[in-house]
Amino acid sequence: MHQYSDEELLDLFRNSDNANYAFNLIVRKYQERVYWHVRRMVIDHEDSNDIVQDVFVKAWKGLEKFRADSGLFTWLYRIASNEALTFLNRKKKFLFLPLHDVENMLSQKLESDTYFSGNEIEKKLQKAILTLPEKQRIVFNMRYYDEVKYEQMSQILGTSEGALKASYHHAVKKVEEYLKDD
Amino acid sequence: MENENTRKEQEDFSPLLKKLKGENAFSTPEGYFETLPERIMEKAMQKPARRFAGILPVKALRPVILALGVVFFAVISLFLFQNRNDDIYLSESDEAFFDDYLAWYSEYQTDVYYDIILAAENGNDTDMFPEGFFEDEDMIDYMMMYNDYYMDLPPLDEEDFW
Repeated sequence: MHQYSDEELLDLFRNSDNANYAFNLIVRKYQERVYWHVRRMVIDHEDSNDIVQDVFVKAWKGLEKFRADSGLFTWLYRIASNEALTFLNRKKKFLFLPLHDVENMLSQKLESDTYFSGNEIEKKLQKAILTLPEKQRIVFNMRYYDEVKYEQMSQILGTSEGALKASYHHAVKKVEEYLKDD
Repeated sequence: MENENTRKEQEDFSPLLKKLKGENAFSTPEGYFETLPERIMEKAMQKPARRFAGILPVKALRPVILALGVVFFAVISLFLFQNRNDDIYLSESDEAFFDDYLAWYSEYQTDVYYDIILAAENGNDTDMFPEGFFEDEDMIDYMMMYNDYYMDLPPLDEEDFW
């Protein structure tokens, strides 16, 4: 199947009579990256599924006004990051929990997650990542797993590249420390 | 190119983490990504439910709704303001009752206060507490318990008291 570039997809969406088709192609192109980004933040598959659907519904509603100043991928990542953070904050407020308790809860969820097949070391790595503050966690996941460039991350998160590099470096050290503990 | 940069960075920052980076430990239900676009499209095509759509021209009625809201709040404010004013003036009978009650209350409470002090001074020999009713410690506890409350009473004239 021909892999469309972002520009081609946006042109297709704007010029074609069938915007649905173009949007469907956008979803197919980015769904996995968006899903894994969200999943690493909220851990649970069902929650991730809801959030990913919301991300793309928001994209559908906003795509007409999207001016492509930033790339499509950057824009979708930004929506996904915001949705994941909003979800975690809502959970914190709804359960009247401090944030670190939400992270503890996610850690426990990992233990019983049917869709997590990692061994003990991988489980420990995930738990270590969950000890990071949420924004630092986003930075860590983007760089460590998705290998997003700092320049792109800067556009997505609205933070300077220098601050992101420092944040990632600190995150790596914290995770390493957690892993070496015991 | 960026992958190379990332790898080098990971090597520099933490060889341990670089070594751990392997297969994705998370998974999804089978066929999840094949059906996800359809579910997303279905959700995106849903029109938000509008409660009064088709029954009332909500947009056109917006100024009327706004005006009614303002009138409603004005009426409520007026009602509350009047009630507040009414509260300030007591009827004559209410006032008399209130005065009696205050007089009785302060007299009664002051008597209790005197009784406690006298009991402490005269070995519990008062009308209120028969002799030996309280141990000394009990008396102190009792006085401490009431202390905060009686702090609010007007200071007693020493001559009147003794």
